[in-house]
Amino acid sequence: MRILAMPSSAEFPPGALTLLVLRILHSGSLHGYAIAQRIRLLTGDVLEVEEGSLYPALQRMLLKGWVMARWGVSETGRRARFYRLTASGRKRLEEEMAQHDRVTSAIQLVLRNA
Amino acid sequence: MILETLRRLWYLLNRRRFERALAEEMAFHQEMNTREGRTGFGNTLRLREQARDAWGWLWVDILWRDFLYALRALRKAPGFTAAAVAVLSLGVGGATAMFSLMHSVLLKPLPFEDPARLTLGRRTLNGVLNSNVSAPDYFDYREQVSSFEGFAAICVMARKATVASADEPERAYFTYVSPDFFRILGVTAEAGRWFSADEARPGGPDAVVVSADFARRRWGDVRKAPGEPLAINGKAYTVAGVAPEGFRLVHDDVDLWAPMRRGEEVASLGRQFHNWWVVARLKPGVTLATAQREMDVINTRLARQYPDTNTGKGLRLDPLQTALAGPYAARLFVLMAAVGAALLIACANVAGLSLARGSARRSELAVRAALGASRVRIAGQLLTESVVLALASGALGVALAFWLHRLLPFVAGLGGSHLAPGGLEWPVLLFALAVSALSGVLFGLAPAWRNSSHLLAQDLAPGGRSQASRSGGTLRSALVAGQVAMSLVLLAGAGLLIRSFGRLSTADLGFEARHLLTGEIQLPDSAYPPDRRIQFFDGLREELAAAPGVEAAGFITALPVRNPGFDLSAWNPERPPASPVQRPTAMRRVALPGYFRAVRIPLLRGRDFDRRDREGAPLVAIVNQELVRRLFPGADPLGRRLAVDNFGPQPSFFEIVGVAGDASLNIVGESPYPAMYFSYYQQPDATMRFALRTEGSPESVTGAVRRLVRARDASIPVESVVAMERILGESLAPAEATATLLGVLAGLALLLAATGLYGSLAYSVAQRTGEIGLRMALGAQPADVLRLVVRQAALLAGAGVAIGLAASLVVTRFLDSLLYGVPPADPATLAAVSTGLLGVTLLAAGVPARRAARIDPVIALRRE
Repeated sequence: MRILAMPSSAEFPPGALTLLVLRILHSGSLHGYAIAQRIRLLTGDVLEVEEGSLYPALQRMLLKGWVMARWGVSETGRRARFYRLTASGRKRLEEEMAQHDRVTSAIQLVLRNA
Repeated sequence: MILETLRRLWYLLNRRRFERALAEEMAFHQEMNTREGRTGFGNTLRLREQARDAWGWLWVDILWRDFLYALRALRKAPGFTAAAVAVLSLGVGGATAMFSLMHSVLLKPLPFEDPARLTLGRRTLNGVLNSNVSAPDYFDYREQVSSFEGFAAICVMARKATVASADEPERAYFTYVSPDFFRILGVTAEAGRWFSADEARPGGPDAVVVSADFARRRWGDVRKAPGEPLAINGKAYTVAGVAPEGFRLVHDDVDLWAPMRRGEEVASLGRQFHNWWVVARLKPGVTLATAQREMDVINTRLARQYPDTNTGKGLRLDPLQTALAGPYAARLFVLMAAVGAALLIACANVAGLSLARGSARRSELAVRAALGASRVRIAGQLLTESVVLALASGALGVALAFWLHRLLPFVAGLGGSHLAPGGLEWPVLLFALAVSALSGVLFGLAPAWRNSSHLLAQDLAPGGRSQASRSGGTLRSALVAGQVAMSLVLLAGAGLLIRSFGRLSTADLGFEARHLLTGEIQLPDSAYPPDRRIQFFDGLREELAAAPGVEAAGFITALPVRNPGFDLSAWNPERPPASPVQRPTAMRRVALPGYFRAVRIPLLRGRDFDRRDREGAPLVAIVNQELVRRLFPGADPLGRRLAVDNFGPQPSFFEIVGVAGDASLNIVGESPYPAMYFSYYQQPDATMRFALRTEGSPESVTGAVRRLVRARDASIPVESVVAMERILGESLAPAEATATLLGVLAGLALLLAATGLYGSLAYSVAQRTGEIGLRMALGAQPADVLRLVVRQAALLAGAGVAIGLAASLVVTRFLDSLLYGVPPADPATLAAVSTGLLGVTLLAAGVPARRAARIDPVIALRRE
């Protein structure tokens, strides 16, 4: 069974979700919906995270100890779970960003000079 | 890494809370979505599963769920569960009990330090194991050997001695060991110490080591024993120390160990008297092969030095544990194999049951398949069920084994020997666990695979009899045929052992064992010089012969079957052997007149002893037929002389005055061995055994015996009073027990195989009801249907029997060492067993066959 994909948005590069979520949470703690919303807004609807990908990814990050979750009250007054970065999450973010830079530069080199 | 695992654990323990949280979170997200006008959320269920997968140890999860599901499924089928558990628990219980026995006899390390390095040394003559080592040889070996860090010896004979201290005397078994014996074994004294250098020296102070039981009996506490004085057979000893609790080696019931000192007592005998076994510890890193080579070299040297006594002599080294367990090993392996076969049959039987049950669950399994379960998962679920069933049966089986393993040593012929197990130890429990799990996989694998195959949509409809049930037929048939085959092997083995036992118990012993009371009387050396001994026993004999209830009284040093006694070199002086080491031996016995008559050993030629044959008169001997056959072939031995070794430079010469029939000297069913009897008046031994032929039951004259002996001397006990028949029974007990156990197993196997066949046929008939109905509608007679079913049964049974016969021919060869008078491939037994099995299986097929013949075609066709 395949997860529904929005035809208008681009395919989500694998592994990038973790990086994006970590980066977004770096600016502050958010609940799941807000994270998805932020990604949509910041990329101008190019990248769309499906719930089917977001929540498992969040669970994985919880398991690894990169984020912590806490119940709070949303802007609508409803109870929601807020995620925030931990110290090890911050470190992971640095590592992943460095890695991402390295890979992107390498790709650029090939594209420019091949 | 560790944190992650801890987090996982935390998740597992709080799973419900986590899932609720996630559900709430997603509900919120969904709400927000709708608020913003966005649609589509995705499969919540799938999401939850994915989230769960991210957290959990997937396989633990699956296993747990399968386990709960299995419990529910088994509960819904009580009949199947009960039958399977019953069959399997018997199988696992039996296997565990048997393994427990094997473990304590063969596998468990001996309770000594580093037991793997301990070896047993026994004499060989020209390469053939002969048994005991002589003391001078032992001392020489000890001096010359270098592969060992300890070289000890133990006397093979243990004698009963009268032990006295301050209070009343008692009788206890007593033997000699080399002074470093306990130290080399690596055991620590329960109290006191081992022999000191002084006590080990010839002529030094006399010390003895006592057993823990003995110390407690005598002095109440083991710690009180060291230093206490003890008089053994009149000689004064001091207790040096106490052996560890339950210490036993070679002898089962020795309470006293005295040091072996060069030139004293048993250790003083020459090179041609063999009374010792060597117990030696290899140096670390030295292999048995190396040590053996060294012994061979030393023995070659000794043979050159002492050609008279050491030519052809060798010392064979074996690992201590296997050497001691040797005589029991064959029997244990046979029993273990039989129990294993029975367990396999049980597994096959339950597998058949599982297959049949699987067909009934097709609709349930089809639903699971439709919901997306892969074949592997469904098969896995079914397999888990089987394993759960097997483990539950295993637990029950272990309980059964607790009860069984107390009985088993007696059944296996080990009786109260030191090798009998104590409790159920953890390696045995581990074995039970492994065997249960394995059985589960074994009987569950094929049915699981079979039952999860071809689950089509049509199976969703109830009563859907797809062809899958037919294809299970080959597997079922194979299982049944396999059960029949293995039952045949077990039956063949049991049949052979039972016949062998029958032969053994009716074997000609050479004497009449019924109505014979036996016992032992030992006179103390100090109070009874030779002439008083003659007076005592001769007088006793006359009184006993005249006592009411006694037909005849015989006195002898060694009774047949019960006391092997010892042997001496004896040869025909007219054909002397080339060298002393080649002198033949014969068992030595000394008797009073009337012995042969009392035990009914026929006197074939010449006469019995009488009062003429006393001290000063010419030395006489009565020999048995086997001795005549070997030493005087084809000639009349009466009047000829027999040369007998007498521990001195020149042999003694005896005139042969009689020839007696051969009698079983050692065990029932042994081959004949030469024996020579001497006149008691000429060689009055201090210990004599009596054999009283009674008119009524042997025990009825026990009182009279004790009274008469007490009247002569109140301090002399009469020991080991027992009817000869009981001794025989004990001697035969191992064979009887093995035959019985195997018989029971074979019977159970037969029952299982028959029910397996019955079940398979009944199922097949039920499946084919439509087909049979059709046949009958088209004109087939009930007789035809009957023939159809019976033919199917006959094919199955026949195939099983054929395979079983072929297997038997191979397997029964291993029984050779346990059989007496019956060849392993005995055609009569195999034929009887095959026909019996065929008969029973065809009988089992009768019911389904008859039911098939009575099918009403109208009803059958309507059901289709």
